[in-house]
Amino acid sequence: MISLTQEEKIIAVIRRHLIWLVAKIFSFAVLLVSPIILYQFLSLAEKSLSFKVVYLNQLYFFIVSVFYFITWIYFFIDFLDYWLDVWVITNKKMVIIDQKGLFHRDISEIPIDKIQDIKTSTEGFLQTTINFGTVSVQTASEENSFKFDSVPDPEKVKDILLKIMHK
Amino acid sequence: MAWKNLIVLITLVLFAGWAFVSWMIRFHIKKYSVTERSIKIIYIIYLAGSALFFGFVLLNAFTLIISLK
Repeated sequence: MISLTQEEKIIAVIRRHLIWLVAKIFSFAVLLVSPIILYQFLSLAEKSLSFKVVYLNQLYFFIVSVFYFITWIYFFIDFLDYWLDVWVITNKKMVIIDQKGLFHRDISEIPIDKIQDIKTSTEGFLQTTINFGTVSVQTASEENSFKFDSVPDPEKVKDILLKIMHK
Repeated sequence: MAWKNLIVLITLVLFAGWAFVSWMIRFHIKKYSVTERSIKIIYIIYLAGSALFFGFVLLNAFTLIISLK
C-alpha cells in the first residue's frame, strides 16, 4: 500500500491499457487450441504406423491436461503483473510500482518537483487508433528515467503531470 | 511400476505448485493491491479454472495408470 501524508491525495492510478490484457488472452486462447490441432496430426500419424500405439491417447491427454493447467496458472501470473504494475500520481509525488512475476517488485517514489521532462510516444496503427502508448519521465534522481508502456491516453497522463507540476 | 510412480509424482508436484502459486497470488492481491477495487471475482475465476484443470489432470492420470496395468 502507498503511504500518504495528511494533505496528500491520489490524483490518478494508471494501469496498462486493457488491450495489453486482450492480447494476452488471445495468446492464451491460441495455446489452448494448439493441442487440439496437434492431436489431429498425431491421429493421422498413428494411422500410418505399422504397429498400434496403445497408450498414445491416454498419455497425450495426460500431457495436454498438465499443459492446460500450467498455462492457466501462467496466465493469471501475467494478470497479476498487469494488475500490480501501476503508476500512482498524487499531488506531491509519483509512485511507480513494477511487478515482475511473483518474486520481484520494484517501487520508486519521485517527488513531483524532481520531474524534469515528460515524453509520450504512440507508435503504429493499433496504438494510434486505440490511443495508447508509452510515457517516459525524466527525473533528477539517481535512477533518472522511468518508462511505462501501453498506457491509455498518454497525452492525458502528461497533462495531469504538467498540471500538478505547475501548481 | 516406475511409470506409475512417475505419474503420481508429477501429479503431486503439480498440486504442491498449484497450492503455492495460489497462495502467492492471494498474498500479492491482499498486500499490494493499490486501489480499493476488489479483484476477488477474478481470483475466484482463477481458483475455479485451476481446480477444473487439475481435475482433468487427476482424471487423466488415473486413466493412464489404469491403462498401464
